[in-house]
Amino acid sequence: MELKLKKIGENTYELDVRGNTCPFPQIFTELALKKIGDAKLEVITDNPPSARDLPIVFEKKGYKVESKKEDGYWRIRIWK
Amino acid sequence: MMEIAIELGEIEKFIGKYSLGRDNGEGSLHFLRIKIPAGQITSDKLREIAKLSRKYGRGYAEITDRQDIQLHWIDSEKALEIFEELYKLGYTTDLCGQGFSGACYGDVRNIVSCPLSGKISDFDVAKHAKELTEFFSGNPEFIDLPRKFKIAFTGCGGDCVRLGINDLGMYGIELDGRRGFVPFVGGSIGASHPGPSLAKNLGVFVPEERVFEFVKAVVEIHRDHSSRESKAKARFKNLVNSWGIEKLRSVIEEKIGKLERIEGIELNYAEHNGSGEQINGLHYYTLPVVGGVLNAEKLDFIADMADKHGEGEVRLTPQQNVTFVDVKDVEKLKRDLEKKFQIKEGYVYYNSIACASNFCGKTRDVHAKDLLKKLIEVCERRGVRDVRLNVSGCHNDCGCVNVAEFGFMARMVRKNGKVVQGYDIYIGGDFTKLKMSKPYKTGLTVEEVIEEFEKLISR
Repeated sequence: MELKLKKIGENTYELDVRGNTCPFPQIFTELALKKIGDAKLEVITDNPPSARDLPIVFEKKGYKVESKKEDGYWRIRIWK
Repeated sequence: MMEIAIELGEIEKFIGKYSLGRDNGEGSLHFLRIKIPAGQITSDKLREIAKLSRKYGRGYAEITDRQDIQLHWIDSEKALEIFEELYKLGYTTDLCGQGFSGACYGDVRNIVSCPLSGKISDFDVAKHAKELTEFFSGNPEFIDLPRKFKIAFTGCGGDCVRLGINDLGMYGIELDGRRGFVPFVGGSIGASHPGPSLAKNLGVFVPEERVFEFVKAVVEIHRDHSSRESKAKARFKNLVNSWGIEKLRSVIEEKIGKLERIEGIELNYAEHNGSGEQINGLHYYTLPVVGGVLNAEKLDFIADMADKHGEGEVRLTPQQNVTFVDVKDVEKLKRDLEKKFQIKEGYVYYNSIACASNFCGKTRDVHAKDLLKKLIEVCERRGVRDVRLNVSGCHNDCGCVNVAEFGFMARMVRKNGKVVQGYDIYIGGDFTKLKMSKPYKTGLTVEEVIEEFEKLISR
């Protein structure tokens, strides 16, 4: 399985984890955040439990999180 | 466009084989449903699961009606540690893709088997369940089914596993000295389209040596032909209903060749309660576990008893019980078990089941397992032991109300201007006769349910 971070803005990356069940969206998000340092991350998930969990988990870790439901998936923005 | 690759390293081996399910009750956010193939587990592995329960699941554990062991209160931050432990044990979990809104990411669920496979006859159907589990678990070709797929095997001469509620129930028979299976197809008693359905006889004989290719072909047909239009239409029962048996049979035969026709096969009743003699002269004993509720201490104790009185193996049953096999002296085993379990013999204790609605969040107080306890108290008060009770927290019907003799399906009801937890009562189901239960009284409060049930069993 290949996991890729896509640069979508000056200091913003996108991580598409659609199709992954809990807890992998969270685990992949963790790996991505380590990789991009201070940049902003936008995670795309279609797994409702992950959409519930990601804001809780990463806010607890001191990140700012914004979640938006789009067409059949959630776009979750995470930054410091 | 610039891309950065993320190395998954060791994590990769868990993908497609492990997941956490969503809880929303009792303060639990995630459950871990460990597949125990054919329900067969050694004492060593039971102790390892007890350790996991203590370390990660507040010491709680329950047996599901598909012979899994389920833990709750799993912290998703610890998931990789837990998956590593399970990987070492050779266990996988259900892929709980039910969270997805679309018709996708379905997997083959724990394959159920007669708990006495190979013990009361030498027809070992569990070997097929285990071989197929090995094949399907994490197999990239089979982890994006339109929806989940449930398989069950029996070979004891009867239906001890509720074959008819499975997408594919393999009924073991002997035909002219040859062993094989009559498949029942398209069962599923959840609410999805076209509604609760019991499996239909496919009218063929699948000899043992063709079981693997047959089951694989059926799951492929589900994968390739069941509707991906919407989740509600994606269960195999919907395809079976729209194609009909003849078309399904001919599509299977296009894939694997001709199958022998067989008519007039009906399911026989079977249960493995209490104790009995095995073909090797040793005995089995089934310990009733109401609602399948155990804890780490009891798992350890069961493991110790399996070592002391048998050969270190137990079988989990689709009735959420524990069957000890290869027991030398049943009475001694029972005397020892009484140190930790209050053993109550009777059909109602052995055959009643209830789902984990307290954890999934589908019910408020009184939850499914709690209602089961209350109903059993009613039975005890009235001196009735020969009834089978099924309790489900919602219309997805994990507690099998749709085949219940007495079934209780949760719903919210309005009482004195307040919305409270209530239940509908269903009666008259019989899974062996492939007969669904019917609603008897609906929209009752728990107090009304108890009252009505007491009247019903007092008749």
